[in-house]
Amino acid sequence: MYFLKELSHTVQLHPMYFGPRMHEYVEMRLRAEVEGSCSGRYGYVVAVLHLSKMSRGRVLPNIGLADLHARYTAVVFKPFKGEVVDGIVTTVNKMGFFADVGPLQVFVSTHLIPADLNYDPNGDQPCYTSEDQLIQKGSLIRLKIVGTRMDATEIFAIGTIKEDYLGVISQ
Amino acid sequence: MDVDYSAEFASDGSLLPAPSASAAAEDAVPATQQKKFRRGRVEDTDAAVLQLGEDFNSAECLFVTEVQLLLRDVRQKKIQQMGEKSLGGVFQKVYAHAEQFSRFKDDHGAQEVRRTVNRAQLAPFEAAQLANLCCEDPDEAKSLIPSLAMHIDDERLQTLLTEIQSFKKS
Amino acid sequence: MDSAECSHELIFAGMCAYCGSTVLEQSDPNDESSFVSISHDTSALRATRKHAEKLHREETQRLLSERRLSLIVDLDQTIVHAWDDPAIESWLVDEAHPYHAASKDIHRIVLHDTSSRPGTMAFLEKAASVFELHIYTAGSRSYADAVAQLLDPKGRLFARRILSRDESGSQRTKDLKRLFPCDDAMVLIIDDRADTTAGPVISGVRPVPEDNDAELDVIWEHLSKIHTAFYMMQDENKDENDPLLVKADVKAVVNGFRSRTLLGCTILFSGLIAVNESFEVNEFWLMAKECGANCVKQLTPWVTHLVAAKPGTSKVHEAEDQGDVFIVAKEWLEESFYAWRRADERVHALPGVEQPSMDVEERIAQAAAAAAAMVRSRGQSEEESTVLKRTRSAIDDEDLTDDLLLSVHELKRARKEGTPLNEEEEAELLRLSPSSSAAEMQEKLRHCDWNSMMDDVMAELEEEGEQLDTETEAEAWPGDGTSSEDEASEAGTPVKHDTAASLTAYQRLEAR
Repeated sequence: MYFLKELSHTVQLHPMYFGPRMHEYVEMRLRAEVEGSCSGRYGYVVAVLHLSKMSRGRVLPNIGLADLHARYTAVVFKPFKGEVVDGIVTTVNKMGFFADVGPLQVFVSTHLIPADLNYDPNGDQPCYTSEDQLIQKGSLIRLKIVGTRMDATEIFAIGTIKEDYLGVISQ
Repeated sequence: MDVDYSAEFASDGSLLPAPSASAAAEDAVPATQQKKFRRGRVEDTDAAVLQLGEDFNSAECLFVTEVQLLLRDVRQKKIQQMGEKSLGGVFQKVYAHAEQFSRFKDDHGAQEVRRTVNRAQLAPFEAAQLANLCCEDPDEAKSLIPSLAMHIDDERLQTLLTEIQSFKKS
Repeated sequence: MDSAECSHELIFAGMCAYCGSTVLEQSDPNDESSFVSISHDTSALRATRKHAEKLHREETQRLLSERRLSLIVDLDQTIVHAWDDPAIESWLVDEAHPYHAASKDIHRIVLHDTSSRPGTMAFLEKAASVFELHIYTAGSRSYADAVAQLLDPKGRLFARRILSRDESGSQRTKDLKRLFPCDDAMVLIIDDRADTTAGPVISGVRPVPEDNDAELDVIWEHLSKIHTAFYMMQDENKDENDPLLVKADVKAVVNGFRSRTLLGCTILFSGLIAVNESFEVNEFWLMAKECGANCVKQLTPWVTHLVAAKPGTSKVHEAEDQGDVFIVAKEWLEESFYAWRRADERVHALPGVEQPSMDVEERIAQAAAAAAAMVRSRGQSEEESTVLKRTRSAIDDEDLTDDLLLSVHELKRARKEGTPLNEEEEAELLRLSPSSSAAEMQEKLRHCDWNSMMDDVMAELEEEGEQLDTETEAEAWPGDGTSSEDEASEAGTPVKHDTAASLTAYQRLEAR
């Protein structure tokens, strides 16, 4: 799910930036530091929309750098177990298929693909086919997330299409 | 809480001065136990029953078309200011995904859908999912968004779905 | 699926792919429930050892039922070496291009115009008809993807079967094991190096950037032969109860083909085997052996080729003096090995040395006839030919003590069609057995004349009633002049194939 979320971040500033354009510089640093980052707690920070509040700088003793605490509103993306999402199939193999849901990589194993979809490795591209469905690279797919896992820079998920109303999205 | 936020995002690795209160709290709870607590909290989420964790339970949800519209402006500005290269990988992937799965005609359509779902007085997550998934009938909607069954009857749901459908891209 | 009942046999990024729950990995890699990577393109997908084996069994059965084999194509040397496309140049120039980062690896590609070289595509298309193609590259993942995109934009040939450095680290052998852990009986590799034979099977190809197409034609010829022979062998040995059980082996098939390449040649090396190196593991020694040649450590009258690193060594001079030894560079052996065809001695003659004036075929026939004379036997019983072979190799290796003498006696015994040694023979064996006076025996043998040595062996055989045509033998002796064609062909008979089945399959293929 995409959220509009207020978050905060502390930027450390070198004294050379203290001055009239300091806020502009803080915003730039903030974007560079948080946009594209990923955490287990908030998921991906996609884009900073605006800064809502910036603390007065606090100069750190001894080193002369200043800490500036900024509150900002951002578009974040965090997938949840039980959430239904739409994605694009990127890889198909005999174990299942991978789909991208924005920055999220989801794996759907054969166990979680309906039994009437059979793996066919011999066509132009490997695919899963049944009488009325074809899953291959590039297919649009509606899946439900059954588990998520975050590492330092990415989120991964396990998905299923073995339920009603899930599977290939007909266009 | 604010301190925690910052710690999460200190991606440059800079050391943040830890306030004494939180330091004391850390001392009080053994590190392993604290970790367990945190992980447990992450795993307890389940969108089917609207448990998104305390950070997101009442957060404002965006449906895909809204994301696309918001990012379209951000994107244009970024390209103008710093060129296409300034768009990061995550941003590009999200934008591509949002463009691909955006369901409604235009800004106006998106706004109307937002008004429609807001009127239904559903949880933010349910409202956004209804707009994302554009279900045809109540059965499909309740199957894909199970919590709806507790919050809305089929008749109202059907009216809502019909209204959402009317703004769909042809 | 309920997490508690789930087998967790397939995991993706630390989650069970069946139930989605977090799975803690076994730290002991030898445990049956430890996880191994199973996918070409993402190390994030892992399966328990047990499940991986099951998947591979299924894969093998599928290949068999489709009558296909796996073929690993080494991208860097074999295919891409002579590959070029304006597209790659655009990656190099255009910083915004998604493959720009990958293109830093591309300087290794020799730039040619692809339009004049349609052979690569044609080759891949042909190969894909009977082989499941896999790409191996030492380049990065993005590089492999980029080149695969170029060669195979629709993903028809390789699909996603690409293994790159990023997934595999640097130990390729190990990683081929990873892709084909259970069975390498159906895996072929096209590669340019012989010293990586630790992998399943090498159907080697030299990187010849100048004439890639001709090279690829040769490879294709080999590949289709191997494929046909493999399935002949499989059909012949098929298990009726389990027809999808692998009964053939590409290793045996390849050995069967290759082992006829230098049949009848006896090869000596100069400057290619280090003083302290063991002969049996030397790259060139092994290559020659695989080609069916006989390798020797010192100059003997039936050496046909001296493979030398450089002119001017004492072995080169001795060979020149002997007058009937073709003195060639190592490329002669390499080309023979790769092409499964004896390379032209004149093309690879070591520069600046004197070569025999006689015809190569004739010379090989002569030398081979000499060997055949020893090996020739009336019954050609299995036991006999083994003993004969050992006799020959004992003499060639100048291991002239126990092995030779015991062999002679075993031979005599074998000739008597399995009757056990009588007391008299046993006494004689003991007398000849050099265990008590090994040094003395060796000394004696060192000074003995080679021809009379051979005569002695012949005489022994004759004593046993061998109906040898001594005149023919004398004529066929090295340096004695003429030879005949049928002796040359006879020299081919004693080579025993790794499996009888491969021989049968081969012969049937030849007969077509």
